[in-house]
Amino acid sequence: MQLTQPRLNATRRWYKTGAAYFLLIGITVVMAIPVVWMFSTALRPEEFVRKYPVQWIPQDITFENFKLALDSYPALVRWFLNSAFVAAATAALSVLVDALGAYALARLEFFGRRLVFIGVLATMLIPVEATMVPLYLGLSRARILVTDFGIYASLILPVVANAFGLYLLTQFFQGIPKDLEDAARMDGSTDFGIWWRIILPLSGPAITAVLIFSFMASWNNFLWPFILTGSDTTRTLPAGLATIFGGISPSSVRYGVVMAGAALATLPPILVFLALQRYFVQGISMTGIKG
Amino acid sequence: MSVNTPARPGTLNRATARTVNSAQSSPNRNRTAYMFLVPYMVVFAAFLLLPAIAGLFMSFTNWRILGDPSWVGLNNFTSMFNDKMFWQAFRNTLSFTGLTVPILVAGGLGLAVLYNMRLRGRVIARTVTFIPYAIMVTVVGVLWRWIYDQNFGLLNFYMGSLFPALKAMPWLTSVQNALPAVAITTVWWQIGTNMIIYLAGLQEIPQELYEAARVDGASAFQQFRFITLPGLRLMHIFVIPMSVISSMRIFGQVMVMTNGGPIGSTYTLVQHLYSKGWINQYMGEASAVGVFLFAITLTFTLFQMRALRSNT
Repeated sequence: MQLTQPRLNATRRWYKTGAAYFLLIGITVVMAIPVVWMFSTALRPEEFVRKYPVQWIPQDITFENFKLALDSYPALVRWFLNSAFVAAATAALSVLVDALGAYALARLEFFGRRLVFIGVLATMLIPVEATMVPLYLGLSRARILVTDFGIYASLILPVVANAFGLYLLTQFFQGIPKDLEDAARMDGSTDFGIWWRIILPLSGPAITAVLIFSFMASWNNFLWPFILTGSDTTRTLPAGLATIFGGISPSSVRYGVVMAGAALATLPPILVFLALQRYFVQGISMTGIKG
Repeated sequence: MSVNTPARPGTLNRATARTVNSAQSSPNRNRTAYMFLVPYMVVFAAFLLLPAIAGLFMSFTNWRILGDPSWVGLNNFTSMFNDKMFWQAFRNTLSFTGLTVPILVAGGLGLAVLYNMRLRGRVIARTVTFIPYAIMVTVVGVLWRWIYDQNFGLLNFYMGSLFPALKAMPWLTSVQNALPAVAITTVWWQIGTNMIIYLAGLQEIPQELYEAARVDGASAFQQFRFITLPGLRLMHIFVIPMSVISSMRIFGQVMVMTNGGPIGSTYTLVQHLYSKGWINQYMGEASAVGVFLFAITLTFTLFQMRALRSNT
């Protein structure tokens, strides 16, 4: 009995590892299929798009669909640039206001700190849709939405105060050792100087995480831009794509072209994301020890 | 990179309070802190707090885009509650939330545990799981519409080769299947976010706890129940409400995939809000829907907070 125990354990461990790998591979394949399918469809000549049996690797790969997508929807490029601009501006402003606020919450002692901290966290519970009607009416009555500049500002500012970012940065800043700050204070550094020269440079991963997080939130934002933008000049990519994709009836869709458009919209963020995801994970784990 | 020991997340660092002496805790000190908070608070008040309060106020008026509003008391709420479309939207939203949240939370946790094991290829698996997060909702919608296509879709091709009877199964065009189909899409799209947050939480749990438990003869399940789950408490407090809220807010997927159909089977609360406000131009009633949505998510969250607090 005692002799067989180790062998039994070894077999059991082997089964466990096998099951884990089975799950790992299965889940990866299932998660990857839709994205691969999108690219596979986009690279296929139109006559091979609606065809059974399914061919994963098209017989003659073509880039015709990409050209067709850009020709039939010339506004795609403009939408893409609008989205990139709006998301970048949102992310930059978000990080700025979050990092300033987080410094106060993490490093300074002041009257009402707990209240502010809890109050800010509680706002994560407000669904933005509940604020959308009054915000829209206010902006439209103040005649802000009549200019393109006003529309861009209205796309950016409502998503700048990002409670999750503030929370994440507060947590991260609290973990930074005090001694550097004390030394700087001895040398007569102001709080702003400490924030700029000590806290920010030490918070790379957390700041990257908040940047990616607010960039993505704005990049994916759909309903608000959909309501706000009425012309191709200001339309963001999700809102613009909805005007293409929303109206088409299933039988007449040229999925080759549509998937090419979708792939064009998807590839750049995926690449950026792949390049930065390491920081994203690090930033969220708040410790910075996995680098 | 240096090793930073984080303060206990979720609590403000008490050490700060101790090192700051009373002389510094003066009005002067307060002013510096408020200066740092001003930019956030201004944007927050102007674009979140004020509109939220205004929304509550507007739900008692008959606002339109033009013209002067007047106070109509509870009229918006009575007409909202008398509207069959509202109840259908509410039912659909609840079913959708019920379908997605358990999978998003438990599945996200399960994936995090799996990807935290020392397996080859786990980084690739983690990346692939997280990639859908970078895809915008309109693309997600149209991509899955193509996958669900009744005659030439990818899903029905494989369904048909496994079970020939299901070769032409309707997905998005069937009253029964449309909402679950949208739910599957949403799980695929969103599960990576929860996985990443749980994964970050798992890496915070000290390994010694598991070693000690193993020495004491705790089974894998016991380790999960008594170390992993409580160790992720703060992550649950974040992940569960956020998953509920994002599911209650579903709009983009149905907008692109089904436009609320067939026969309203995927019509959701936010769609109702949108159509009341921007299609019918009843801004007052749209605000009432917004207030209702907020009240519901708040109730859910408070219940969850209480449940989590008593459980762990």
